[in-house]
Order: sequence, then C-alpha cells, then structure tokens
Amino acid sequence: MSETLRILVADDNHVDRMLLSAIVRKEGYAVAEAVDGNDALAKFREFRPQMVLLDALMPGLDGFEVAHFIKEEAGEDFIPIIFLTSLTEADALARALEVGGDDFLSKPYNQIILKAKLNALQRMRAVHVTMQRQRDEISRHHAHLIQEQEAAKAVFDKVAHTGLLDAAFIRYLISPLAIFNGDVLLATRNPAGDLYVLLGDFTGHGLTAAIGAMPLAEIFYGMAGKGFLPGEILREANRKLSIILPKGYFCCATMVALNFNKGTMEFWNGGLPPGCLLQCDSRGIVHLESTHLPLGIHGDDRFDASTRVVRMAPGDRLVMCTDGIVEARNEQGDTFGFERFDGIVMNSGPGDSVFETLQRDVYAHLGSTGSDDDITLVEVTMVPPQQAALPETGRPDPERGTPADWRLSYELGPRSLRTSNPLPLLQQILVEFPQLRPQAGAIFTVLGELYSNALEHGVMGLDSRLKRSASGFAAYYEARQQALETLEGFVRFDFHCAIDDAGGCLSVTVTDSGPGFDFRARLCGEANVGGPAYHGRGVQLLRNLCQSLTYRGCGNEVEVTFSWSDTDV
Amino acid sequence: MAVASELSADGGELIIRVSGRFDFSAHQEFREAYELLPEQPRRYCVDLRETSYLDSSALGMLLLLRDHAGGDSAVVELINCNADVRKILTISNFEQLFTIH
Amino acid sequence: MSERLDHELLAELEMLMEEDFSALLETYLRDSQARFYEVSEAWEAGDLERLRRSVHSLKGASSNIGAAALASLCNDLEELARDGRSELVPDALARVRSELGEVQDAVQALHAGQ
Repeated sequence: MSETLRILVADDNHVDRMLLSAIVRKEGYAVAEAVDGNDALAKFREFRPQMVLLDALMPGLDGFEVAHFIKEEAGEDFIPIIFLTSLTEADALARALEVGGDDFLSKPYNQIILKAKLNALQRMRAVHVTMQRQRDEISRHHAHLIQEQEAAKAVFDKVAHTGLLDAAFIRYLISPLAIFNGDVLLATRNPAGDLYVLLGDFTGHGLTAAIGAMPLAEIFYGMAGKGFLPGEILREANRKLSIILPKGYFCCATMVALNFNKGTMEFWNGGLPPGCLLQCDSRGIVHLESTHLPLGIHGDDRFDASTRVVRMAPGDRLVMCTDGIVEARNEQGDTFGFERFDGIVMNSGPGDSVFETLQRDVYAHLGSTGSDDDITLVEVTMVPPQQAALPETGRPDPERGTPADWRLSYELGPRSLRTSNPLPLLQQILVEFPQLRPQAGAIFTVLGELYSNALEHGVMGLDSRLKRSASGFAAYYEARQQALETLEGFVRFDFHCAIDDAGGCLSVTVTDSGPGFDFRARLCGEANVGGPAYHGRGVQLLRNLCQSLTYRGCGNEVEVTFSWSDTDV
Repeated sequence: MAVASELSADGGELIIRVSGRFDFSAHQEFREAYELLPEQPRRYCVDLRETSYLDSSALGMLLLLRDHAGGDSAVVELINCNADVRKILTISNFEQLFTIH
Repeated sequence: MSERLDHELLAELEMLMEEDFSALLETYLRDSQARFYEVSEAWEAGDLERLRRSVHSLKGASSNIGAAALASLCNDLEELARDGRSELVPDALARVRSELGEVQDAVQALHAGQ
C-alpha cells in the first residue's frame, strides 16, 4: 500500500497511549493521539484517520459516544474502530458492538495481537474501499446508460411510433413503461391514399431493437410515399434487416394496406399473433394468420412477400397486437392467451373501449406477478372513401408552376408486368409538376385502378364477378397470383400533359393487350346496380375522381382526363 | 431454466434438453452445449419436453444453432413441444426452418 | 528484582519503545502516583464511582508495564467500589498502596539502570 494509513489513538491514560502509539507507528502507520473523548472527536475531524483505537472509559465524552459520532460522520466510508476494553466487561462489550465497534483489545496490550487485528481490519477496509469504488463506478455507468437509453428512446419514439397515428380511424396503445420493448408501429398513406400500417416486434428489448427500427421506418415511409406496394416494401425491409441484424435477431411484423375506395385490406403477417378483423355486418371475425417467417431471417432469395387481400367494409375494424398481451402470465404461469384476446375483441362494439377492457383484463390476469408491462395494440377502422380523403396539400405555388406541354408513352412487356410495379416511377414523374399536386391523390388512385384493370382483366383475363362472394374474393386473388407468373402481353400508358398560365389538362390513356370487353353493355349494367361496386372495373369510382372517362376500341383502351384552371383550384 | 446435452454413442447426434423457461437467461448455456464439442455432429435434436415457455430470444438461439449446424443444410429437430411452445413456433413459421415433432 | 514486574514483557517494551522507553517509565511513575492520589481523594470524599474510574485507569497502566500483581489488586478494589462494598475498601486500598510502592521502587530501579 503506497499511501500511509492514518490511525487515531484515543486513551486518557498516558502510559497506555504511549504504548499503543509506539506499536502502531512501528507497523508503519501515521498516528495521532487524543487524550479524552472530546479531543478524540476533534482529532478525528482534523486528522481524518482511516482507523481508530478507542478507549471505552474516558472522561468527558466516553468511547461509546465518540464511536457513535465517528460512525455517523464517516457515513458510508468504513472507518474500523477497535475498542480498548477488557473482554470480561459484558455490558461494555455489548455497548461497543451497539455503537459499531469492529473489534476489541484488552490490557495488557499484546503487540502481536494488535498487529494481527490492524492487518485484518486493514484488509476489510481495502475490500470495502474496492467495493465502494466498484459500486460507484457501476452506478456511474448505470446513470450513463440510463441517460443514453433515454436519449435513444426519444429518437426511437420519433422513428418507431410515428406517421399518421393520430388519424381518426387509427387508435393505438403503446405501453409507456418499457424503455425499449422493441415494438414498432408505423402508419402512412401512399400517394393514392391507401393507408399502410406496420406493426413490428423486434427480438430482444434493447438497443438492437432500436437500431433495427431505423431502417425499417425509413424504408416503410420512403417507399410508401413513392407508391410502392406492401409486398415491395416488405421485401426491401427484409433485405435490409437480414443484412444488418446479427444472426438470431429478427422482426416479427404484420403489414396491412387499406384501400378505402375498394373496401379491401391487403395483409402480410410474419411471426406476429394473428390480427382480428371484425366484420360488422356479419359479426364474423377474420384472423390475419402468420404465414411467413419474420423479417430479417432469410435473405432476399428466400423471402416470400406474397400478401392476402380480404374485404373490409366501412365500419369493419382490425385489432392487432404484439405477443406481450397474449403471453402475459399469471401466478400459475398461464398465459393470457389468444382466445381471451379474441373474445374481448369479438364482443366489443364500434367505438367501444376495447383497449381499456384489454388492458384491465391483462392486468387482472397478471395479478401480483408484477410482470413486464409490454403492451402494444393498434386498431384500424375502415371508413367510406369520402371520410378518408387525403389532407389538402395546399394551393400550388404559382411561381413554381411552369408551363408544360409533354407526352410520355410507357409500355410494360410481360417480364416487367410479372416482376415490377410501374406506379412508383410514374408517380415520381407526375409529382414533378406542382400544378398536379392538388389532384395527386385522385390521379394516383385512378392510375392504380386503371393499371390493375388492364393487368388483371385485360392481360390476365380474370373475371371480376368472382369477387362477388367472400370465398370467391380469396379465390380471385389466388388466381391472380398464379396468372401473374405466366402472363404474356403488354400494358401501355400514354400521358399527355398541357399546362399554361390559365390552367392545365392531363390525359392518360391505358391500353392493354387483352381482348377487351363489351363496355357499352357492362357500363349500363353497373349503373343499374348503383353505388360503387367492389367488383367490376370500378368505373363509378373512377368517374367521380376525374373529369372524363372514355372506353375505346374493343374495350382494351381507356382514356381519363383531369383538368383544372388556376382560378378554381 | 437448465440446459443439458448428450452426444449419441456414435457421436453423430447431439441432443440438447432445455427445462423450464427457455429465454435469454439460457443464452450462454445453450451455446456452450453445442459450441464446445470437439467434433461437429451430423444431426442436432432439441428436446423441449421439459420446456414450459419459449420466447423470441429462444427463437433467436435456435436460429444461431441452425446457423452453426450449417444453415440451410443443417439437420435440426425440435421434439416434444407442448402446446404453448408449439403455438409460438407455428406463429413464427419455424417449421420452414426446423423439423418439428 | 522481585516478581512484581514481568521482565520479559518489559524487555519487549524496551525493544518497542527504544529511546522512549525511559520516558515511558517516567510517565508511569508520574501517572500512577497521580492516579493513586485521585483514588485516595475519592475515597475520602466518599465518591465510590470516581474511585472506581481512577483505580480502573491505574489497573490498565499497571498491567501494561507488566505489574500483574498490582493490576490484580486494583481489580479487586475496582470491583468492591462497583459493588458498593465500602466496608472492605480500606483494606484493599492499603494493599494497593503497598504494592504500588514496591512497583514504583522496582520501576525506579529499572529507570536508574537505563
């Protein structure tokens, strides 16, 4: 030990004090002497000894009182006190222990015994100092970690629970206690107005989860904003996560896309508990079962991005959760379970406090187990298209609007039709023109509809009447998937855009290689049924969104126009 | 939680038994069960008879084992799963990666 | 030299104290005298508690310089005082006085030999 330890010797008896001091000094310690209790306390404060030899019986303050003060002033520092007293005095011994005496020494003083005691206490003291230092270090580290985690959580929350979550048709609940429970909830609208929601649960509850959330959110918002389809977004997210996440880490996720115009929901579930879709007309329930591996396990070549499409009428509600709720365990170790979750969702009405009920029941189930509060819930309600209108993007800045007059023809051959989606590219081009932005939602919706009509009914020849029944609906999308892999033919877009100071006009003609259809007869029929049909070519819907819609040729060619004048935007 | 492992007489198969909760606390033991072997067995079998619960970090550990055993060419069986464990494996679609009995 | 002092212990103390050894002896001579004076005074004043404390102190110092017999007599007196047995104090006090005188002589001799 490089540092010379300081020892205080307090004894009112001069001879005893001389002897003790001599022994202690000979052992290499620095010594201060005190002649009575008051002096001992004064010397203690001034000399800051690391150990104290204290006579029990002294005039003024006695040794017990002095010990009491010393222990109090030392706080959490360990200052061993050896009481100088005869071991035969039971009362004194008891008091010495009570005030925190660490050892005893009786007269006549024995040098060897005192040395042994000093050494023993010195070792204890060293252990104590080390422990204290380590404890302080740990608590410093801990405080630092907490601080970093809080900062990271602030970032994580901005990234992981963002987007359109405050929209009227979305309700959600994220347990506030967990710093990082690894749960991610993202929501946005694509350019055509479809609502995309992604609920994810990263393995682990730590920074890994937060790190994975960043690219996931970036890909989700970036690609959704450009009009990519759910499958394309999931494929990219999986590709990225499989590269960046360490082996053994992954992200269970469900992604849904609500098309308000068509009244459909497309979903993909990899590893999350099945979401519950409550159909309000039949009070039936559709489970969004997990049919895929979670994101980030396989590389791109093995990833299956195939989605399912189900009907979702206005008023239908979808409730999704991560596994925290269904895996909540009570004292007996029973999980809350999916059946309970299902029952609560099923028995809830529109606008019911299904979250509050779930939360209450989960906590009641947990009882006194004090398990982690790990709850993430989201509910999405389908609304009629007019209630889901995209927010106004505002008037175009006339300064930025430049006159334009251009044509563009974009034709997709069979290989492109099988593997790629032309809409993001076309949308990217169209948003270059600020004058088009006020109508962007309508334009993109119409483009999407025309493209799927051309592809599905034109090129693939699928019969839209299949979609009239719920079972046919599923069969339709299965047939679509199969047809996509073998199709032959083309779809062509011809744009003509003319913009001048007074206003402008965009016309889009979509031509496909299919045999066409008897549009004259069909359009009359559809008009008679009335209301927007979710099957057929949705002509009614399209007409509401553009100025004109004209079928030509044998029905394989359709032209829509959007026009505006700067005075009435 | 406890992890026990046993090599078949011919050294061709390693059986790993996990009892109690299979979660992050098993991390170290589970890895040591297969990493410290002098020679790599041809087959792996994770016996979950005594496993009461399995969480997502356990799924991660199974993925690590699969990777260690050769990834797509690995032969890893998960046997004796109770209903709860089975459900979790099913939701995660792990039957695409492991042979589950 | 009598058996009044433990010479083996004193030899150890001399090694320990080195040049301070004679100062230790001087201090004992001075202090023991002062303590005994306090003991007598307390007895005359009828203050048994003060007597007990002073003789306790004398006992400690005496045991430390190897005067075991004197320490033992001091202990007897200390116990009598503690138990309030005043009638036995005069005898015990006389024994302490006599033994202390002998011890002081021996210490004095030792000091002179230094």
